[in-house]
Order: sequence, then structure tokens, then C-alpha cells
Amino acid sequence: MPRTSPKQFLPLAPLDFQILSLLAGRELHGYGIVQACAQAFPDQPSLEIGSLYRIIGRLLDAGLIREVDAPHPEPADLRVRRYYTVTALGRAVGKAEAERLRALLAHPATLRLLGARR
Amino acid sequence: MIGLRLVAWLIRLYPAAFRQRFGAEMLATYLDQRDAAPTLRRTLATLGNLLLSLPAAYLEARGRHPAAPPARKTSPMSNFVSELRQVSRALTRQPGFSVVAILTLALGIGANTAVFSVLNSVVLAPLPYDQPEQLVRLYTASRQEPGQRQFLTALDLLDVREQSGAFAQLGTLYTYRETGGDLTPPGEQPRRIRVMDVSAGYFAALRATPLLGRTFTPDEERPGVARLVLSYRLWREVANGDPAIIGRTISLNGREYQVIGVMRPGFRDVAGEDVAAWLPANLERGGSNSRHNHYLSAIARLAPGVTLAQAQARVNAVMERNAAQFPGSKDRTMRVLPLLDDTVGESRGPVYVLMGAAGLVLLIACLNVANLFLARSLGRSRDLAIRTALGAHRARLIRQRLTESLLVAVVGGAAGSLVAFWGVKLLLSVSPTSLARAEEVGFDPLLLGFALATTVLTGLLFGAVPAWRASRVDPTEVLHEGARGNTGGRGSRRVRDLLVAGQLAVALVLLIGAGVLMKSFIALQRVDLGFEASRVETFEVNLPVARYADPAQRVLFHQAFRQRLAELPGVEAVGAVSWLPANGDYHLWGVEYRDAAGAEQGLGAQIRVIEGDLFGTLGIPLLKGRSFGAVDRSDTSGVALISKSLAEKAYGARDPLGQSFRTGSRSFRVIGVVGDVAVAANGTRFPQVYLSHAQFAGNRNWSLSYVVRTTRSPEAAVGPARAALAALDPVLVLHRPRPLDDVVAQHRARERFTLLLMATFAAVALSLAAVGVYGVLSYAVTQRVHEIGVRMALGARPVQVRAAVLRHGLLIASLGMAAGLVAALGLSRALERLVFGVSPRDPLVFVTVVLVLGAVALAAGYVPARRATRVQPLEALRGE
Repeated sequence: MPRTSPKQFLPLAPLDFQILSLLAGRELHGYGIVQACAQAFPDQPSLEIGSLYRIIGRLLDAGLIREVDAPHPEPADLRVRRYYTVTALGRAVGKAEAERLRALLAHPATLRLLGARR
Repeated sequence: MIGLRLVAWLIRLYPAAFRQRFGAEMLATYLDQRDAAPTLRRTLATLGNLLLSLPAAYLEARGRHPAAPPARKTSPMSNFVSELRQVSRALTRQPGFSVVAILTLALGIGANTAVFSVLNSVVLAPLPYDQPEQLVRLYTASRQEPGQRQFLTALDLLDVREQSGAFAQLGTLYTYRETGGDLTPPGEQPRRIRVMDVSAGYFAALRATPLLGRTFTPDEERPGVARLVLSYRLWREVANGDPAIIGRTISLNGREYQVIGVMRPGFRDVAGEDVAAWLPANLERGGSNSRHNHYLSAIARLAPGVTLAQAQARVNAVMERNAAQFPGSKDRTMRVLPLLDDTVGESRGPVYVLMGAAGLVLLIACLNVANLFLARSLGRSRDLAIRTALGAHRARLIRQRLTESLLVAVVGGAAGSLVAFWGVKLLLSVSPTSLARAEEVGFDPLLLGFALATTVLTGLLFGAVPAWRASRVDPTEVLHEGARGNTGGRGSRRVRDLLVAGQLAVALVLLIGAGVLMKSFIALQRVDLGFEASRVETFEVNLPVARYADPAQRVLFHQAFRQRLAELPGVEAVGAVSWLPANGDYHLWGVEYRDAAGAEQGLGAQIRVIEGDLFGTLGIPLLKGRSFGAVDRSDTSGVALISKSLAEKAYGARDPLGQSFRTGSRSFRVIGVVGDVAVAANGTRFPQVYLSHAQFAGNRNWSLSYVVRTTRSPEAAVGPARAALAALDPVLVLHRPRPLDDVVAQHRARERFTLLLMATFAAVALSLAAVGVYGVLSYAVTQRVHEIGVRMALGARPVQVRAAVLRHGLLIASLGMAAGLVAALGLSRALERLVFGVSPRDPLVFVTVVLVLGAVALAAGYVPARRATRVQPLEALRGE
């Protein structure tokens, strides 16, 4: 029974959310996602293919992302590169998750936690 | 390149649907990543991640809804799944820890699975015949030595077949004759093949039916029946798989044989894979089949409902009757042995010992990983304490620890299967021939079960200690301790010390095993065989009786060929013999001689028929008298040379020269005495009689093995020798050319193989134990930084600090080695039957191993000890 309302997907796993949000900005292939992740979150351990493609598979199955044609010409090698972007549902789910997180972060309890650390 | 291959291989392990969807893309992404940063670290990170994601990929593939992340139910299964997920995430976050643990386990599980697959195929799996447990092998033994496995007479076998009622079918094989036949397919060069004479019941007993045509019938069990059954492989080779071969003739040893059948592809002769054709055995009473001619081997299938013991009793009854009737058979009994035991009997010892050794490697691997886990869980004991204090169930905590260790074990097991796959290939390439039935080693569901069981057991074993520790965490104690950042109380340190001591103990056992085997192998290499094997090439020449029916003709041929060989450049000496030395027992005919009192006596002796300068070529000393010469012809009286041990046993202080003895129903006069020569590669001596081919060619068609001593490499002589043979007779075969050194080495291959594997295991054990010592001491140093800092601030010298750490290491080492010594002494009996010329408790080996292991433990402890002296007192105290 496919889920249709964004709320049904929450909460998203952190990495799922990261990749979803990266793909909301542009169309990326697997290695592009790895690079974007490394750039955006330099403190995280690098994203490895075993995890990456499990997440991509999960997001594709859930209808949160989809495959698109290559936005620019490919280098002339035989490597298979598929590009992905978010679907409308994916964008909505990403937004819902972001809002959920924002609410969480704005909660006094969380703020206290952050304050205590600083 | 190897990285890419490993990545590709791991991707192949993913669920099919996942792999088809993303496999190519994953590889591409990996390659892109590697192009950007071509480092080992990069590849290791990918490999580790692929391994750790594997279980999750399968779980997802199974439980997936059409649209994704699993709903959070609280059924036990989904609990387990979410727990697995938590655990695998935790492990992915510590790739260093996970990779080390997985690799250690892969090594242990892989080594075990590889050795077990050999054990399984060689020792445990049944023979490739229907209901193999009903199959037996028959032997003759003398009443004095009931353990003998001697050849049988056709007449005894016929009596047992007809009278005993013990067997449903009984088949004979003529394994005694080692020579093959020269097969000449139409329009082709002759080739030498292994031929087996078998009786009608042979195929029936094995329940082997032909693919084409038929096998032999009882009325074909007589001399001169020129019919033949081909193996599937030979049929493909010489007839290109043409079914019309049945009824056609094919030339074997210059005689035309009618092909009556072709066996199925899977059929394997009891005597070996290489048997390519079968001829009907001659079992006719009379002629060469006397009560004294022991030359046959036999197999049989027990009659329905007859046990092995009952069959033996019925066979005994027949043999008793024969003993009463024919006084010559008085001394003989017939043994009935399970065929499986007989086939694998000798391989069993080494394989069991290797299995034990592989088990010990796994044990060390488990101890190592348990230690890793323990260190890790100690680092988290605060976390555990808090959770316990908050009311987490102890059972749940234990379950989580076990889930974690099982997950690592499963992944380690998967990687271990890879190690096993390569390991089996390696095992077989190192020793394809020395293990009986090595060709049958292969994949088996049982194997998978074994790997699985090993994996689970391993997981529980190394998981048990940390889990047990976790369950015993006392919140108040830990939380108090916590203030000083101390992770792990005195008790847990003791557990870790004990684990490392255990590793050292097991390593010591393995090292001693390897040491004893090495010393034994060196002794074997140094054994005096009584002849010089280096720079000698050997090959076999057989003259087909159809074209060389006259013995005189055969004598002339061999003399002419020997002459030609001697004239080749680089050839120093040439001789030929009916059976090569150090190549096993053969022609155990025995001699009848008169003792000092003139009474008739018998003595076991092996007969060798020789041509040319055998003794000169092999450097066998002539101790007395003369060797054969041109004066010894077929029309002069029979003369013989005897070995020194035969001269001493038979004639004692008397002069052997001129004495007469009988063998092979002829009388011979001793003209010379030569040095003793080994009949086996382990140096075993046996009294020997040498007869001249020129005089004795009429007894049978001897196939002669030539020995050619060269000034250069022995292989260089093969080409010219083949040309010389072709010049005399173009359709003869120069069979099995190989250096004499190889002939000897082939008989030592089993020992070399066992040693090699044991040494590998010992090396792995040693490195794992060293890692263990290093790990536990560095950890101890880290833990005691504060204490060391205080000490140094109070004026302790670096030497004292270092000594304190090393003392700790030495304590562990001596504890472990003491336990290891006790275990090694206890286990040394297992090696007793495998070693040669050395005691399994050889003191030199024990002392050396203790010193080596002690040195390695010290070296492993030295690095952390030095680090301790670099502790800056101020910093250590500031950390307070």
C-alpha cells in the first residue's frame, strides 16, 4: 500500500534526508552525490557505494526520487552513470522532514542542549 | 586492479535484483572515486562498507514493501531487524575495528572451510559408487602378520566367489602390473595408456553400467580374449565420441582388440582416475593361476544382509578348507576391509591433524576478535551502565552484544568463503597427487553447512565474553570509576590478559607442531637412500609382446638402445631396471636358500631385473664379486647379485659368493654383493635380488625403466633419447620421462604438503598472537597514562617505566606459554604417526619455539613500552 502523504515518511533516516536535499538542488549521478556530500558535510565519513545505492534504491522505490537523462554530455567511457533528481513527492517529503527538524531544533530542550555545549 | 576485482566480487554477492539494478553503476561510481583518490584507504573503505551493507541489503530485499522504509512495528522479527540495523550502523561507523575483526575471522573461517572441504572430499564423502558402504577390498595376509595387505591368488578368489556366499559380486583387478599398454588408434602415433585387467564381476560389484555396448561376461575370463572396454575419455579422444566404435577393433600392444563397450563419463576405476581401458582377466584354473601365484587385487559387494564380520567369517571358512586341502596355503588368510578405509587410510592422519590446526587458528582468531570486542565494549561501559541504571533489560543488552558479534561473524564468514575458495585451489595446486582422491575435492552443500555452523559458533564464542561482561556491569561502580576516565576495571583487564595468554598458548601449540614437522621433513630429506638421484633422467620403455614375442629379440633391442643412449652427448652412464628405487615395494618374490646347516630356509626379498650399468649410473657400490657381463647369457647358468642386507640375513658370516638360492622357480648363483638401496622415499630398506635381463627376459615381458646419468640437466636427455628410440622402432613410446629426483620427491609430497600448511597456520597464529600482545599492552599503557605520569613526575626513570610495561607483557607471555606447553605435550601424540626420525616431543623444537614466541611477545610489547616512556607528566596530569 504505497504511501502518498509526506507525513507518512517521517522521520527520514539522516542519510536519506541528506541525499534527498542534495538532489532537490540539482541532478546528480552516484559519484556526484558522493562529491556533493563530501563538500556539504566535510566532517562526515565519506559516503560509500554499498550504503549509497541501498539508499538510492530505497528512495526510488518510495517514489521520492527518479532517474533523469544526463543533463550534459557524458565523458566518452563505458562507465554507467545514471542521474537522479527529486520527484514532487520527494520534494514535499524533504520539506516536511526539514520542518520537523526545524521544530525540533527550535524546542527549548534542544536549545538548552546546544547552549550547554557552547 | 585487485581492488576493482574485489569490489566487483563483493557486488556479485548482493541480492540479484539489487545487483542488476545498481551493479554497473556501483562499479562506475567506485572507479570515479578511485580516480579522484587512488589510495588503498579508499578501496578498503569501499570494501568494508560493501561487506557491512550486505546483510542489510538482503534484509531489505526480503522484507520490502513496494514503497520503502519498513514501518515500525514491534513484532520480534522487526525488533531484530531494527536491532541489526542499529548494530550494522554502529559497525560502519568504526570501519577500522570492523575491517580488522572481519579479516581476522575471514582468515580463521576460511582456513577451516578450505581444510574441511579437503577433509570432506578425501575422507568423509563416500566413494563415487552406489551404496559404497557395501563395498570391500580383499587382501591376503600371512597368519604371522595379519596386518599385511598382499596380493591374492586367482584360485583363492574363485573359491571364495563360488563357495563363501559372502558377496553379491566379486571383481578382480590386476593392479600388480604397473605397466600400461601402447594403444595405436588408426592413423595415429601410439600412445601409452593405463590398462586394467578385470573380471566379469568387477563392474557389477561397483554397479557401474556401460554407456555403450556391454562389459565382460564370466566366459571371457580366460587367456587370449582380445576384447576391450574403453573409458569415456579415451573414447572421446580416439574415436571422437563415435558410437559406431562398438564392434570395431583397435590396436593395443601391436594386437587387435575388439571394442565391446564404453563406460560412462563419471566412472572411475578403483585403481585410479587414469585407467583408460579394461581387458578381461584370465581367471582360468591352471596355467599361470596356481595356488602360489599371488598377483591379483579384488573388490566385492557384500551380499544383502551380510555384515562385514559375517563376510570375514564365511571367507575364513573357505580359506580353512583350502588350508586343509592344499598344504601350500596353510599360512594364508584372506582379509575383508571396507573399501573406503582402504582408499583413504593413509591420507587420514595428516588431514585430521591439519583440521585440528585449522581449528586452533580459528580459536586464536576468535580470541583476538573477542578481545577487540571487549576493548570496544569497555569503552562503552559508561553507556551500558547508564542504560542499566535506567532499567534496560539485561537480556536485551546481551542480545544486542550477540547480534553484533553474529553480524561480524556472518560477514567474516562470507569473506572467509572467499578465502576458502582460493585456499582450496591453493591446497590442490600445492599437492594435487599426494592426497588420495584429490580430484574429487569440490563444492558440497555439507561444506556450506560447515562454514555456516563455524560462523555461528564463532560469533557466539567471541561474542560470549563481551556479552557476559556487559551483563555484569554494575552501574554504581562504573559511574564512580568514570570520573577518572578509566574504562574497565581490574577484572576486565584480567579477562583481556587471559584472552591474550590463551592466544599465545594456542600459537605455541601450532608452532611446536610446525617445528616438529619441519624437523621431521629435514630428516626425511637427509635420509640416505643408498643411491645418487641427482642428474639422472628416467623413462620407461615397454616392448609390445605382439611384435617382440621372442625374449632374445627383446634382449637385443634393449642392449642396442642402451648402446645408443650411452653414445649421446652429455650422457655419462646408462642402465635400466624393472622397478625404480625408492618407488615402493614391487616383486616381493622372496628367496629360498640353504642355511649353514644345509636346511632349506625362506626369506622375504624383492626382485629387480636390470640391464646395463645400473649400479654405476645410480652410484650403488659393488661391495663384493662382480656385476653382470657379456658372459652371462640366456644359455649360461643363472647368476644374481644380492644386496648387503640379504647377504647378511641369508649367509651371515659365510661368503655369499658362489652360494645358490631359488626365486621365480629358478636357481641362481651369487656372483656379487651390492649396497642396500631404499625401496621407499623414507629410506626403508628391503633385501633385494638383482637378475640380468639378458638371462631372465624369458620369465615375462619386462617393461624397463631406464636411468640415464647426464653431465647437464637430466631433462635435456629426453629429446635425444626419444630420437634414439624412434631410430630403432618408430612406433615405440618413451613413457613418463622424469628426473629421478622427482620420482623421490613425489613420494614425499604428502609430508611437504602437511608441513607447508602447518607452517602457514603457525605463521598466522604467531602474527595474530603478536597483534594480541601489542593490543593489550598499548591499551594498558593508554589506561595507565595518569599513573605513569605521576610516577615520572615523582622521578621514575624511563627504564623503570619500560620495564613495568614489559613485565606485564612477560607475565602474560609466560602464563600463555606455560599453558601452551602443557597442551602441546598432551597433543603431541597426534603427530606421532606423521613424523619421521624425530620425536613429537623433541626438546630442541620445544626450546626453540618457546624462545621464538617469547622474543616475538617481547618485541610486540616493546612498542607500547617505549610509548609509555614518552608520556609527558604534565600533560598526563592535566588530563585530570
